[in-house]
Amino acid sequence: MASTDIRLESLMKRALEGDERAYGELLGESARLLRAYISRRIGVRADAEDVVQEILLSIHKARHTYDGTRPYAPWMFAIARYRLQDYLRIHYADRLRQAVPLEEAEIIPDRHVTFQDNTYESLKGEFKHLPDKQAMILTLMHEQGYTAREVAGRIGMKESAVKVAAHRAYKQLRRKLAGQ
Amino acid sequence: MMQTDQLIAQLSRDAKPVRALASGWLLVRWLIVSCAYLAVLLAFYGIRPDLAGRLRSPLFALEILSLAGVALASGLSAVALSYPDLRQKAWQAYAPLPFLALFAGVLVAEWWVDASPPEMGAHHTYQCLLCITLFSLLPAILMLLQQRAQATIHAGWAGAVALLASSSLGALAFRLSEKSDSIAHMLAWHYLPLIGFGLVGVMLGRKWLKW
Repeated sequence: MASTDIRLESLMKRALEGDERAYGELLGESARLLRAYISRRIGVRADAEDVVQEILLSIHKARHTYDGTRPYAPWMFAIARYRLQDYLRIHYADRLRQAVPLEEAEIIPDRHVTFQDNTYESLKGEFKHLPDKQAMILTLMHEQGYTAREVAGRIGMKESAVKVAAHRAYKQLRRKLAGQ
Repeated sequence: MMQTDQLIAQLSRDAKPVRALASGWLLVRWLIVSCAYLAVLLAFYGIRPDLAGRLRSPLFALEILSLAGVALASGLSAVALSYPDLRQKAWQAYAPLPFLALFAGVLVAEWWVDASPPEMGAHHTYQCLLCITLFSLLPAILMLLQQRAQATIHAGWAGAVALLASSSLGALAFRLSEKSDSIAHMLAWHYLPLIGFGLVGVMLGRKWLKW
């Protein structure tokens, strides 16, 4: 890593003197490092490549602020973070602009969303097919109205374990009901 | 957008030699031009006749020295902030803080002592603020132009410190001409407005220093 740093500094010094080949090599190496950095932060590949190109342009524009007396990578990544923030600011502003207010949404569900094929009472009968602990958890949560945290406190389990057990129970019930 | 390789090839062809200005020289250049400007203004306004005597007062001397420290440290910070990586010396960006603390302490001490002689000359208020604005004008323009020619990634902060540096330098120079020593007057019309200059600098920086 240290030898890469020294190499990049040396390339940049030569680039500042007008060495086109050194500059091309420097930008190529910078693009490789930037691609790895940006693609971890921007999922869309085309957008990530656009941001890499913006950063390379910014490096070109700001190269007079680097004099070769300090490491190249922190200077380059400072510019990269700046341009990444610009991209994210514009990206999220666009998403906000394109968002449709809920009251204007035209999606109309094709059935009543509160309609339930099964009631709690009808499901209760299926609990006996569940392991005891899962049945107890669902009974406490749905019949007696306790939260997962309260159930955990009552039966001496961790809250996360209660949630996992409830999730497994729902999965099992769903499979059973789908098979009916 | 073009392929990255094509962009690299194009940028390489544009690789003219570039001379990076040393940050020390940016600060020195700003100081030299600003001090020359302030010297001309002071020649016009005149230095207070009792300056030598007042400098023998420890609090007054400390006020002048700490304000000079604020101006110099802010100038250093403004130059550092004009680089994307702060020249990898982040401490320079925070350099004004200890001097601001010292300056604030001196002002509190002066208020506590309350040994200010009665105001000399005619009563004046907002005129001092206008004068300090005039004294700060060229240093502020020069520092902002310098920063704009660089590549700051902290536009608001850089602008704030640029105007703090310029206004504290202007306030320092004007203090050498101002005949009043009333701490209340100093605070109201000379020193508290420096905060306002800083806030204006934030707005100017965000508008003008982005690249």
